[in-house]
Amino acid sequence: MQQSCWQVLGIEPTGDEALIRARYAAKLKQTNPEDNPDGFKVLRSAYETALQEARWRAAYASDSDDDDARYDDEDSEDRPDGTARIEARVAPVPFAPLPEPAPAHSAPLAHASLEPEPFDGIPAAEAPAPPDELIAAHRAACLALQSALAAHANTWALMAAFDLVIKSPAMQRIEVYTDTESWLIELLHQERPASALLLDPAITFFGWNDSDFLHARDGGASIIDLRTSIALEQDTASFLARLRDRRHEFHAAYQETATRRHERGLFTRLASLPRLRLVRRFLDYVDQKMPYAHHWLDADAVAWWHARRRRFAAPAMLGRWAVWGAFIALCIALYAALAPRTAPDGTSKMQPVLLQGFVRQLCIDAAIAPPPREAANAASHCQTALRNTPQSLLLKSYYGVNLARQKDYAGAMARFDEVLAISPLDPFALYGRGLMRLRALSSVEQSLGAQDLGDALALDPTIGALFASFGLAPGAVYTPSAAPPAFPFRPIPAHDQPRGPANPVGQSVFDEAYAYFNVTPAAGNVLLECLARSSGVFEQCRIVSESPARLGLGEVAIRIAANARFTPALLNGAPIDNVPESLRLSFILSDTPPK
Amino acid sequence: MIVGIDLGTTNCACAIYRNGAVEMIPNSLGHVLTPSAVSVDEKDNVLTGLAARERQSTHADRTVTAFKRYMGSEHVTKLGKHSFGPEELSALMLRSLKADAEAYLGEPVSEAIITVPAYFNNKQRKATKRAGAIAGLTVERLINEPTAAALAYGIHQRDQQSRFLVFDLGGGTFDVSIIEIFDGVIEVRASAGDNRLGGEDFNEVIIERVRRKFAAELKNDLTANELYQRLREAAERARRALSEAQSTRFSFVWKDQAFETEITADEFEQDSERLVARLREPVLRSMRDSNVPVASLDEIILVGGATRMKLVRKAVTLMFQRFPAANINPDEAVARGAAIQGALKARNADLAEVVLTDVCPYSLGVESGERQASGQTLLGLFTPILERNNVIPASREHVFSTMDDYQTHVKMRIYQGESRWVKDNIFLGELSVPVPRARAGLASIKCRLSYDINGLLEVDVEVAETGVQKNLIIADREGVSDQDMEVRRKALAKLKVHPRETESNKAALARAGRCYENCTGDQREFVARLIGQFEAVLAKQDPRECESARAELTAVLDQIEGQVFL
Repeated sequence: MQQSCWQVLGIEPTGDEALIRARYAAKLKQTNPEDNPDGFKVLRSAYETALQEARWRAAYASDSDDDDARYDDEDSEDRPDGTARIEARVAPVPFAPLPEPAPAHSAPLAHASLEPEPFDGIPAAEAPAPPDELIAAHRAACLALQSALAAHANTWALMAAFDLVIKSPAMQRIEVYTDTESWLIELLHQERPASALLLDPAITFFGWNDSDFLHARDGGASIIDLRTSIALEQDTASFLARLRDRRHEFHAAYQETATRRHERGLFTRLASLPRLRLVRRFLDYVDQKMPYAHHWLDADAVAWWHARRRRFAAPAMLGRWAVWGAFIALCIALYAALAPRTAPDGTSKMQPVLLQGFVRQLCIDAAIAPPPREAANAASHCQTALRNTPQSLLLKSYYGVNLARQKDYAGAMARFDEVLAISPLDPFALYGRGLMRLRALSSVEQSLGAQDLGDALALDPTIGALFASFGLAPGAVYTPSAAPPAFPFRPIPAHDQPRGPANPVGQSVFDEAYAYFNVTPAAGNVLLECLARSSGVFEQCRIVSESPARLGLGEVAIRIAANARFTPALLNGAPIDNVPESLRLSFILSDTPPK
Repeated sequence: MIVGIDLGTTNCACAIYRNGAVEMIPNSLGHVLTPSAVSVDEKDNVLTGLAARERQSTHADRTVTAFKRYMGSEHVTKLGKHSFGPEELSALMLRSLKADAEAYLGEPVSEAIITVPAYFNNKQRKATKRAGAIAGLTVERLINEPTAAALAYGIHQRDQQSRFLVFDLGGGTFDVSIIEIFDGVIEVRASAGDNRLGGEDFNEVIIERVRRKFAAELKNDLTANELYQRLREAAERARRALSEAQSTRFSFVWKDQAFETEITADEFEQDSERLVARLREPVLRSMRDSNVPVASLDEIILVGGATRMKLVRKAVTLMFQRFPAANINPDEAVARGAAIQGALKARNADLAEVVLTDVCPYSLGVESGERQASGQTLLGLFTPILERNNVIPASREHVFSTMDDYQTHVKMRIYQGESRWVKDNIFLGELSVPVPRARAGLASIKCRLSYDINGLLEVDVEVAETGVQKNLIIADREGVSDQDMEVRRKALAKLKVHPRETESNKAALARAGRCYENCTGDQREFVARLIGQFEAVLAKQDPRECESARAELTAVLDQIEGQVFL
């Protein structure tokens, strides 16, 4: 039979910890762990449960007290029953009133939870006067870091404020250290976008990435998760940007899964069935590598594709589909055999109907394919396809593209004009016509062409990139690099135009660093790894190697890189984001010492 | 009689509790501390203690120290013709301590309590126990070093309520324990540590500095073992000097060339910054685990010779904002505590009202897998069942379920450690149980770990659906049969050991030999002549004459190179 912890200890349920401990000590003398390990285990777990329960009791008792008791606590020394209550409440947590300035320090903690309050909300007078200068300095440093984060200060100031906090002499104290650690965890979470810069240094300093699971559970893990999720978000963003390029292997699959199914036409939906395998690979890839990309996919569409996938995966289903397929084939064969051959020209009508889709695809493929492929046949394919579906604006557009690639600019312009006559705001045709007009000789035509281009871009900013992928651009005609394709089907070039030079002014940076940090001037080399952003700055730099090490050269190099500006590399006329680059910086001692 | 033995990285000590008090047992040289060193001389005699340590720099390839660092590994040391594992080396030390105790007590000693660093893992503990068995000692209990120190300190205040922190920085290991005493119960609240941090690492810092300084002169020999041993000996001396002085002279002789440099306390402190930073992690961990705020600690107790260093004391003072206790001897506390534990074990009437409870400082658990939301499977995770700093004996249970559809067996692999991944933890054993055929997650397996007071880990696995039970005991002697132990004990007994009576002469001679190599010019000739004279006296084999000649020689050597340190 299970005894309750109070029965084991032989006392009534109580909130008095001292009594519990005394009983435990007395019982322990009879149940020595050396002689009676099983008895000891029972006693020990009873003791631990009882202590826990007593703490709950004490906490519950003080919480259920009327509210005024809590407010009166500060000045209730002379209340007849006040002292007793205070003792009862202090007892559960054996934390003697501190001679040490820990309460003074915990002030930033309290304020951190009041975020985002303006800095003015932390008046110096409110906190009790700190009995220790070091604590005061540390607290000031914490507040400075907090306000720097809130004010979105620049990298420099932020890092300097952080350094000030972790290097403050008060951090040597165990209590201050632990308080600061938990305060910082909270702060980093609250200032989430701005605090991304501080994650790595904080993780390194507090050792949150060490392999101790108990420590990790206490809060460090949440910061690691935060870092992972920020990194994943960035990865996902660049992955999606690549997906939106039509030449990406998964572009079609992305479109299938990112658009709501009921917004798409019946035929588009039917046409998407053959893409099952592609979509399946795409969804697997997203699940494994880019789980965050699911936010940008349409949940219904994904669910629909998953349902398809299950249906096709089941072997019984495959058999049923095979039977259906055989049945349909039989029907067609019967029709072909039995239908009267009444066609006037003597040929079967079947052939063009079956070929129609194929020719159509040839026309479009020819336009999308990279230029080296001979496009002469392409125009004729388009013509054939257009004979079957004379109303198709899409085919007319691609016909125009193919003609343009054969340098038949007049013919191409005529096709685009045909489209525009029916759909005057079609950005595709507008842009195409604009390009053709630019190639005309008269300056009036050229200015009209520029206007067309502008209109088209206003309607769809990505249309330029699309045309560039056809090898048609306003200026020089794009020719792909000789680099091997990154994807098995259609090559994606790294860039059309490389990144412009970055010329940071080192001296001023160095002087500034000298003022902020204790940098020893020395000659040396630093290798950085940065992301070149489309905004023309390097971000997320990290030190790969530095020599001589630990003199602060790496820090300075990071700041120099952060101050550098450049023209970003271009792809399809658009700046490229998040290009990883290695930067090597050399420091040379000059004759003039830093001021 | 149960003696308490502190088997340290640099020094060993032995103590006994009798007549209501702890007595330290001196060795044949009259010292309380015996250096942990083993040496084999040219005649294949085995030397231990000070005599062996003095030979360290002159016979680097025949002498070994700090072998505790290899405890629990397969490391083999070759000394002359013999090769020893760390267990055999420890056994040799234990045997000489046993002989000292027998000589002092006048009766045979067969039982002992041996101390180990709190953060020693299961393998290292087993190896220590085996070393005791090889030396012919029944190891009644292994007790954690900080716990022993706490016992030595707390036994005098068993009637008060107090909490204190034991900061144990020895020659090679670092432990922190938080102890609470109330109503005669001495309870360890939490222990944490670093198995590879100690005085030796601070010596390395000095050696590194000296090597950098003389890199040009020594460039051909920088990695020579003999030079390293010579530097280590000088570094140890310098480090001790720096505990008192602001700066010290670092001098050594290499290939008849004297090198000398000055090391200041500030330089030393700068160089050891990273080591000092590592002191903080175990302190933080133990404070976190025990849930004891710094302000409620009554005392900080420093144990271990390395805590004599000024910079360690400074770091402790800064961490806790108070001065550590000064009234205990950091070298003897552990052995004293072990002796008290021996008395507790023997139910000594004086100590009937004292009960000691200790914790298991590391977590024990099993390997597990996890299926994530994305459908991926994460394997090789560690799921702790018995979390660290539970009071032992203890047992805990955890229920697991199957991962794959229709799997037939579940393999429970038991690990010890703190990492999330089993590959970073220490493997202890495994057992496999059949499970009923069911979809994933539908068969559940109860796994209970019980850790008893002697460090015996028992695993009970029960499949809830079928009631199949299996049991595995991970014992202390696992993997080594009694027969094997007997063979090893015999092999060790066959070794010729230097007779105890002449050990002090041997030590003096070894020291003179080292002094000879460390001197140059006239001084060297002078030492050579002294050695010649002393050897002539020894040849006469008159004990009284030997003793006076030894005293003379020691006095002269003390003048030349300062007193010998332990």
